[in-house]
Amino acid sequence: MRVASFVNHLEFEFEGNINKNAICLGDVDNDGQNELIVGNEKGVLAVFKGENPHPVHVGTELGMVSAISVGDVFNTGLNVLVVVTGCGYCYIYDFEDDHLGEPTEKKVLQPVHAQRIPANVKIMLIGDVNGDGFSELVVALTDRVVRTYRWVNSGEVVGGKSYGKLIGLNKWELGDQIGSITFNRCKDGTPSLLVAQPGGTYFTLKVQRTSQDYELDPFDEQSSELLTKMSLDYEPLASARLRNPNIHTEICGNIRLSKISSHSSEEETNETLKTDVVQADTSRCEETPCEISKTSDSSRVRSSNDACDVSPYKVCDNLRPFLRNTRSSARSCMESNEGETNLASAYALATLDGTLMLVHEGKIRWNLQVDHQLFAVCGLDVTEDGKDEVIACAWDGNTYIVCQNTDCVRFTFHEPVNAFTAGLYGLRGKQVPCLVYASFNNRIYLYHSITMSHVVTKSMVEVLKEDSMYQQMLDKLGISADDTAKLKELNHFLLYGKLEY
Amino acid sequence: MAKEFSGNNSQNYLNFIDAHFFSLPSQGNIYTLTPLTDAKGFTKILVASLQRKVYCLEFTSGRPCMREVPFTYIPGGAEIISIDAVNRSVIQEDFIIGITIIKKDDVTGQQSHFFNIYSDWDLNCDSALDVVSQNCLPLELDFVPYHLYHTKTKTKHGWETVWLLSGSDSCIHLYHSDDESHSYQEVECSESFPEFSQTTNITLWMDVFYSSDNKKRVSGTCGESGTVHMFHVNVEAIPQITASHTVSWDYPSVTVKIFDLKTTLSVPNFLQGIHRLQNRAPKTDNEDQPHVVVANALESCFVYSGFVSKCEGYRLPDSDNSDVVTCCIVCDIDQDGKNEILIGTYGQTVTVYKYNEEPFSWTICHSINVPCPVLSLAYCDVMGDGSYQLIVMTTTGIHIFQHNPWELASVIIERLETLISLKSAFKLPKEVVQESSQCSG
Repeated sequence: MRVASFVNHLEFEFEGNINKNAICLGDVDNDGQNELIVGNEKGVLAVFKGENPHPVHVGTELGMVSAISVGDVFNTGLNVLVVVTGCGYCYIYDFEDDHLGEPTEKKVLQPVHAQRIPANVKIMLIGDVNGDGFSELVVALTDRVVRTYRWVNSGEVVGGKSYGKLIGLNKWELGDQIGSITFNRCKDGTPSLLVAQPGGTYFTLKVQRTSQDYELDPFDEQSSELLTKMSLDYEPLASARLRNPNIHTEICGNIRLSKISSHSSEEETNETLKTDVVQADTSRCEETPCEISKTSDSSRVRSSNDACDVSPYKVCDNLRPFLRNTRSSARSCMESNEGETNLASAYALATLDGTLMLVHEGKIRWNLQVDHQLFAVCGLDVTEDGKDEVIACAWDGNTYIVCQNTDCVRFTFHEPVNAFTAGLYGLRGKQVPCLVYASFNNRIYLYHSITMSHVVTKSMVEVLKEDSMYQQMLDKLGISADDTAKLKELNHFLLYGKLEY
Repeated sequence: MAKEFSGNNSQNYLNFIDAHFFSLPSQGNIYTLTPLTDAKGFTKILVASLQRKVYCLEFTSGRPCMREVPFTYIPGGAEIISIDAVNRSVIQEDFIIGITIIKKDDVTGQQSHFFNIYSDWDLNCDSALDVVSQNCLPLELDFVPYHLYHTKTKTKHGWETVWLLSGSDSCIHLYHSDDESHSYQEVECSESFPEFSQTTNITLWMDVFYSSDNKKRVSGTCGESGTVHMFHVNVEAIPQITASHTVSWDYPSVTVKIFDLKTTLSVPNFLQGIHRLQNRAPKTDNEDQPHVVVANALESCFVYSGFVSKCEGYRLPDSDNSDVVTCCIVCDIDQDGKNEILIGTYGQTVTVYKYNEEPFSWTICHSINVPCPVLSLAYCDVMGDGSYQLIVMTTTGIHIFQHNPWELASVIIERLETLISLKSAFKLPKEVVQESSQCSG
């Protein structure tokens, strides 16, 4: 196995123990650049931006921060920061009036909303769980319960801001302790929720929309029907029987298996979304940005794909790109395989006894055994080929980057890891893939130069073998292409010698 | 053609891929990395760690592989100071490996020092390294060993590989093999290496550079007290110092390297035809004097070009910027036919200096950051594809930096085109000559 050594990193100072899910990369200030948000067990929350080693924002006395997520909970098209504490407080922070880029001394954070929810939350996600185009808040609790919440405006507007609260939508009670939860797109493109269960197994939870124009209203009596529309599937995964049935399992969904579709089909999708916007616009004003946010994201994906920017998307770009946090958000990038029959994205499972597997539609694509206790798994494209690699981290700092044909690179972080995440981070105006390690020594390390062209190294001979011109020229020189010793001598001479007089 | 070659690499930017990292259980030092090339041209890297373990790093069928080589006669508790290895034969594997160790007696606390020479006297084995590691000739030393170096010298039997070992007694000791008794002996070095017989302080590094016709050599030593000696030695008959130069620094000088600006590589047999065809003038004698680069631990590094006539050194810019300089190598890292200087520092960087003719200067063209302090550097072909890789030993392990294979492949194809055009350009007169000779015959 190839071993990589990453050098370029940023070090952030942050004291205290960090919960596994209290570290998050996301764009809290909606400038298109992701920030790093961490919270510790003593109730300190910090937002790091760019190369600044000190937090640009600090929140204190929150209680034990157990989970952090960034997303569009308010459905206004703008990201907010949501922090949940162990004792059941949910704080929402809004950075609308506040540009983090300004070089100021660290500011104290004030939540725009605080609410009590059931205690013992350990994981939180923000994203569309039922396919209605609105973001929900999904939490998993330590007592085997998954709940979803929806932000509802109360109608009052104070100082230009609307007030409201989070209202519970669904609740599932599972049989076993929850390892982690993640969003994943199904075959038909609808979102689903995967809940990892011990022993490398998981539940698929699906909340179906009833109809196209069904408007979710928590005060509507019809909402009880939702429960009947939900499906619940348990996937024992064949090889799971072989292992320790009680081992802790992590799961990460929405791993892109293939490149983003061609431009033409994407433009069409964008067009339809656009028309959706116009239609939906009549009912509620806050829907519009939400829909636009979707288009903006796909346009951003497109532009990263070397497409020329078409003017309507530029507007969207200014608005804000949808966050692409692997941990906390469902990627709404328009992925379509040939014929658009299969929209399902893959998901990776990692267990504490060192099994890492990639699953696609219930089938194990590959499975890898390592000798280290994997406690975190993420999907991130580090080879810049449009496909995500699976990144799994062990407590002792060993990190495995596995591409989809199971080629693997190992990176060893030099310290035991307290919390780990991988994703995009805004550095010098660019979103770069990075690995974030929180150590036990009050420091957070963010490795940012991690892109590599290939997971497996190729030698020059292999590259030359594929070159037909090289073969032709060898023929001209009368050198057999199989004579490796001679070829080596020739290559060496061409590089380092000279035919000089 | 040389110009055409260099023209292809107009940009000085080096594109390295971090191909692999071998982690070492315990740290080595600046003397514990040595490449070893076998007769087939495959290079292994021998690296010794402080805790008496020696590892062999190689790429077998493209995959990196690291294994421990069980060298005998390295007792528990011993610490390896330096290692050096050489293949004496060009047609088969005839390795000699030298390892110097310090051994501390647990009871008395007394230190003893050994120089172990591993070699194989009957050459009929497949896995040469494993056999060699079992055939040891230990020599007890009465000084603390430092730099172990091998070079060749002319004896009555012809050219012979000898060991040079610097020690805490401020001397450089010379060991050469006695074929009759199958052993190595220390011999007085004043005869074959007169330049090394009068050192006055501990030598940290030495380098010997023979001219292409083997009639002259340039030697350099640098020491703990900062004294750098450079010698021109005429070796046509009995070695005689023809010129010398001494520089003194306030701080230790860690490395001295002697090099030519241009690289020389013999033309492979199958290309000799083309080579001879375009040979217009016989190879002019190298009027260039070898250059000497001196790496100072706490000061800038200096390059001395023609130290006999011109004593002023050229200060390598910013070479004192990142902590102590630990090592230095000279190699053609950008494949333009000219050597570059690479300097490794404790400040976790490797800096590449490139030579500019007009005006005469060395400028930084690239720098590589590694996560740990650099201890040693090498530039050799570990992957076995004809291109060299940069090997960086740090305090935690060995990094292999590979040139971007796609870029190298395009360079090769361009140069191959030039080669073929040369061949076709010179083919015509040759055929005419052949035909005319046939007619006359």
